[in-house]
Amino acid sequence: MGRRARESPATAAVGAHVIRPRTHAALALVVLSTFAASSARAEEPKTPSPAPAPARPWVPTVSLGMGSFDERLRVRVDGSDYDSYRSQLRMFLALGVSHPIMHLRDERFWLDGHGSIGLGPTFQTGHWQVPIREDVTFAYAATHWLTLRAGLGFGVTVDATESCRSFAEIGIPISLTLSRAFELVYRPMLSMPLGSESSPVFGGDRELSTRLAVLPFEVTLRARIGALAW
Amino acid sequence: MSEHPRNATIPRRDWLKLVVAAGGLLVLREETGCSYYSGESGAAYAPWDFPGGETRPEMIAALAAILAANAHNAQPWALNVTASKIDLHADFTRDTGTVDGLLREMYISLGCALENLVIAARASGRAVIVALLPDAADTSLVASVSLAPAAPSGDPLFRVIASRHTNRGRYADAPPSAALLPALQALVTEPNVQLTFLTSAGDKASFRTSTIDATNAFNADAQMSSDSNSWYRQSAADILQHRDGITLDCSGDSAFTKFWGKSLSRPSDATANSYWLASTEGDQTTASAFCILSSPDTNLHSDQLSVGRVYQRIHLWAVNEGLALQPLNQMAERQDREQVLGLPPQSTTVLNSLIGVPGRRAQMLFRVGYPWDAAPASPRRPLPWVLM
Repeated sequence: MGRRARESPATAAVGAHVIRPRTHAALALVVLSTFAASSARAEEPKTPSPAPAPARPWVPTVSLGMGSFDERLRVRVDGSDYDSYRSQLRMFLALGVSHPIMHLRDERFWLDGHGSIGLGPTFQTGHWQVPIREDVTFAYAATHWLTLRAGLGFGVTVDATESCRSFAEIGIPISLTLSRAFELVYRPMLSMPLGSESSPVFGGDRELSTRLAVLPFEVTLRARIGALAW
Repeated sequence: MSEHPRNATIPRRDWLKLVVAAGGLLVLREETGCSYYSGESGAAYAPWDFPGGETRPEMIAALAAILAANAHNAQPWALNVTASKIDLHADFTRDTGTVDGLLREMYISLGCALENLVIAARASGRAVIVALLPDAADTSLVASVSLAPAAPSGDPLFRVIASRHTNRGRYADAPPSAALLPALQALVTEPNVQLTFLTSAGDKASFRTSTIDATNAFNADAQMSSDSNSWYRQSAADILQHRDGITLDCSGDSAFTKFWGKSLSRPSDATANSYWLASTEGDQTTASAFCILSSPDTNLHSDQLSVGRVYQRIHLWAVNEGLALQPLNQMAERQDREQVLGLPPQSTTVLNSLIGVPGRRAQMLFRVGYPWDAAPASPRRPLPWVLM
């Protein structure tokens, strides 16, 4: 304060320009907080102080995710198998709903779920995939604005372009929810092929499928739309 | 409660701005040719509907000829078709400049067209007699094919003429069947053509490294680079207009790269070269084996026509057997360039070493393997455009 008071009028004028973006940022924070508060009323008990169960616990969500999955090409030549692998990036846009499962005695903890269906392309082959998922997570309201989640997810990714390249998945969703409105999810998973495409080749045959593999990379940004909760 | 306040709607003036901006964007996309389009669709790909409704043997043969493998998809051919004879001409206006300074690739491409023509004519009930370079006074006439009624050959290669495409994608990391070399050798029936089959780790590594070196030398040669990239077709309008050349869909790049490549404007030569080099260092040098078709080092056009016939036959056979092929001619192109400009014979020396037989000259290089993905079709000029 003292330093500010010593500034010349000219310096103050220059400072005013510098401050303007901060004003915008503050305004954005106010808007964000208002939106988050709207979501919070619908989604979760106010934490850490005890609060009654939410009146509208089913919260629609929109997610944008990016991850990878592995494929295997097995060639049987002259009686021997040769496997080649490649990893493909994919992204998807998913619609879902967050729903309650169980409230625990301590209102900072609860179990909830998230079901979703999405659509998105694979980067290498340009196939369209439909990921369908249900995650069950243990939630902990660390602060009023931060909720941590971890749990187990099940799902299937249907390859809409070539169904034999579909796979089942068991994931471990780990997420941070900020201001009860925005969630960042990291979801490593185990993928299990649900089919394969085979064709004869000279000297043997060729089989292409997804790979039974641990997929360490998938990140999703999710918006929880409290205004549409019920 | 659900009504929006009146002042929340977009004012009329802003709507106008939005419409003008969207219109401007559309015009800009038209002008720059940057807009996404789906692959393998439209009139440029119609010739792959082969033989379509055509029943005349000589026309089926001509339709097959225009689906042949050819360098840079330049399609350097013209056809004079009658019921009893088809003349195959070189279209010298469609050469690829310094990329093919000795016209080696043009004559190999014409050999490929000739092989398709012969296979289709025989399968359609015609016996053929082929005369290569029959008229010394007419250098554009590369082959004259006489047709006479006969029983259809039933050649299985005829059935895969329309599904033969160059596969520039990744191949499996698997060795070839022990029976592959004898099977390929059996397809090399032209006396002056020999096949070198490289499968050992050392030979494959040498071929790969030297191909990458040749790609770098190619890219560093501004004239070769410019002549090559002049055949690149960026937009759907380009493809529809020319129906030839190199396209993103056939590049072997990922769907993501193709999407952005089509959506953005035409890349500079330097950018296109960097993508080509990256592909050569990556997917395009994966293979079960690398192959070299060679001829006597007299380097005659008649031998190059024969090499083309052998390559086309091998490619059709490979497709029929579930295998993929891609020409990798950077070293051969540099070999020609070294000869034309009198440069130190770097690629020439490597190729001679890989062939390992004195007095031979590498004409056509390619890789063979088990593909991850199917290969897309390339645009083709329709038959009426190539009939004389």
